Amino acid sequence: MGRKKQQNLFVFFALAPAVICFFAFMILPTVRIFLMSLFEVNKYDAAQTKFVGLNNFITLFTGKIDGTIIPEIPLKIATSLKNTLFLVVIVGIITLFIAILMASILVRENLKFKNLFRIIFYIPNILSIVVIAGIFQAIYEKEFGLLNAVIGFFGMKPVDWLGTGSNTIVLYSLAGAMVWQAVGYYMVMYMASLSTIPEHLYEASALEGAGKIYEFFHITLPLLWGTIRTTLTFFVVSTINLSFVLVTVMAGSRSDNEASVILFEMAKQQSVQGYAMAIGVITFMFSFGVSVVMNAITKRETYEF
Amino acid sequence: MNKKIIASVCAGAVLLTACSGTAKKTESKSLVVYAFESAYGKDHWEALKASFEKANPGVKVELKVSKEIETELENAIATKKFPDVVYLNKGRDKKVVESIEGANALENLDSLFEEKVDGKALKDIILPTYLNSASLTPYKDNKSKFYAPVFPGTLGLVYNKNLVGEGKEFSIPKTWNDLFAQKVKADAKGISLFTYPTPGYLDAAVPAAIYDKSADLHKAFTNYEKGLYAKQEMKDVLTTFAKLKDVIYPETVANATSEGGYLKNQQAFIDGKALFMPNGTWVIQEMRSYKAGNEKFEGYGFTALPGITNAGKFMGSFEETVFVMKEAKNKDLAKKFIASMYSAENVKVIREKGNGALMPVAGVPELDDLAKNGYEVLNTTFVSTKEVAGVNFKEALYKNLNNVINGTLTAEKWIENVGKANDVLNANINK
Repeated sequence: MGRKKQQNLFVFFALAPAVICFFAFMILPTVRIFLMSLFEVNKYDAAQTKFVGLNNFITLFTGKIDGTIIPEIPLKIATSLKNTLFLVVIVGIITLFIAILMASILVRENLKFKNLFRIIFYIPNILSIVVIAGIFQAIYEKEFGLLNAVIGFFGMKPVDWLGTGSNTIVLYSLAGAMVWQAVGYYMVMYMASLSTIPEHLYEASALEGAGKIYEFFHITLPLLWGTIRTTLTFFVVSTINLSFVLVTVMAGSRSDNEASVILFEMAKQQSVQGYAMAIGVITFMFSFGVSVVMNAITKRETYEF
Repeated sequence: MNKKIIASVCAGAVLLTACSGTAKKTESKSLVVYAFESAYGKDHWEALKASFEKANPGVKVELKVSKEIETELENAIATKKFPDVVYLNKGRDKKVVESIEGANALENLDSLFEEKVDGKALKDIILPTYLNSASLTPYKDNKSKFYAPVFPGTLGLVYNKNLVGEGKEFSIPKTWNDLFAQKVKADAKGISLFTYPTPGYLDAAVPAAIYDKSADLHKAFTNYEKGLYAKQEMKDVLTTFAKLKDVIYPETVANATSEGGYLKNQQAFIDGKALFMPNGTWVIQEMRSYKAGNEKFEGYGFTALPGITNAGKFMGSFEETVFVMKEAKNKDLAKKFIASMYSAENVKVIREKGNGALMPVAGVPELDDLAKNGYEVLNTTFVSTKEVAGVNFKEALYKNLNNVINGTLTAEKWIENVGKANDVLNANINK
């Protein structure tokens, strides 16, 4: 066996496990989602599973089932997509802002207890999202919640943070919890990226008389841009996932769709798998689309040092 | 040396596992029982297992009682390891039983009711109300029974004995209008007339009101008759419930839609903030540790669900069910196990160990009292339909009442939506 051939064989076997796993656990299920969305699935009797073409999607988009039109169906899906998008944008922007600010303070400034702060900010990330939902439920609770107790101390009326009805603020409350849990994680990422920026750039700009804020916008931000773009995609995926758990625990039995997010709508349909998969396809397209758009609008010339 | 030891240990282990494998094979039949761990707990299931094993030597009962039994059941079905006996109810979020029923995967249990226990056929032991309950015959054109009734619970209108009753300020309503008529008096005292733990608790009150209009209407209701919700009769009934908006305890919806909030509504009832609520007999047990907050609370009064035009006489019945799947391996043994639950001895055991779980047989005081007080038990079971994507009838009818009450949905729109869900299901009834 020639050396080249041997090398190729080695590469093949080294890559095989990863490729097989990626194929079996990523590609295959994704393809299956697309396939299953075209069927009416019977879990208990495979013989009764039948191909229905795009029927599931027609129901989703027009609300048409067996000749009856239920306009609430597409309305619900639209609302849940709107809510998901809202959370992606709001949580993304606020988290990004706070995380970069914290990261640059912790890296660039000479603070006492730097490491302690770092740990404290990171702690929410170690907690399970279910625990976080539990914590925030206790914080937001209307009668005995922490937040209402605090604002009550200042003489303000209690607020129904997770309330229902037409002027609810439940989405903002959920966004608050998500920001709290996400900041630490992204902060650590930005810190790692910030510490690679050479010190001499800052020294030079300081000599030229630039202030901290000027430095932030003209050195830190441009050199961090690549990392920020990568994390934006993370935001989209993790917000879609986390919002599901948060909504299920904190606002799950909400009868209406004020706090509904797309994965929640999907989970409600587990007795009709094909239809649920159709929602899955929409979720896939949605997250893909949002990521592409975000990537396109954040495209800048990359700076190197 | 070392290697030798390891080798011999390995050999020993192999031998042991081989032995245990053969030992299992020689063992005779095993019966797999899956039970949902409800408020009744699991002790009575353990006791049933012990007594069945004792009565049937050579049979091993593999019992699985869990709060996650739906997941376990679905996994078992996916791997074709069908359990023999299943205790799980309809009306739960995951709709597992509904799906099994919809897929025609239930075993016909007609022969079960011929089985003899304590020398009597099961059909003569089970009280007629429960034996003939519609909940056992889910299919529209098939009068065979596919479930066995266990642990019946009774739902009625519950009132606060401190304030309601003879010689008290408020009277027990016979109709919904009687209830609404007390609004002025209640408003003056700053009390609300009504609350519900969650709107799902109205699933006995609404059917009882429908039945009060007419038995035919109730039949059409459970059969998803096409166009039913365009009829004035039906609209009258549902509009009555939409009127609850004016008399409801203001925090009801907020509580009903938050996790565990139904307890808060029940607490508000105990505290005398709301006079009436629909609830089951189990509420006494459920709220035992909560009512401490109000020392003055004298207790729960139970009465029939109000009627629309006539005086209410119905109590809603919530029957839980056990079933056998078509694909189960030991169907005969499974039926024998279910039958054994109705033996005089086991009825007693279930009551003692199951936190007061009842069996629907003669001589149970709670069930006898109903008849003694002139109440009738009304069972409302819908015909089996296919699971339809995007349609949830119970959500449309009951859950969305929350929205009617908090003002985000008008009564007309609510009724219209229920009608649409109804018509779609009508087209998907299982034959």
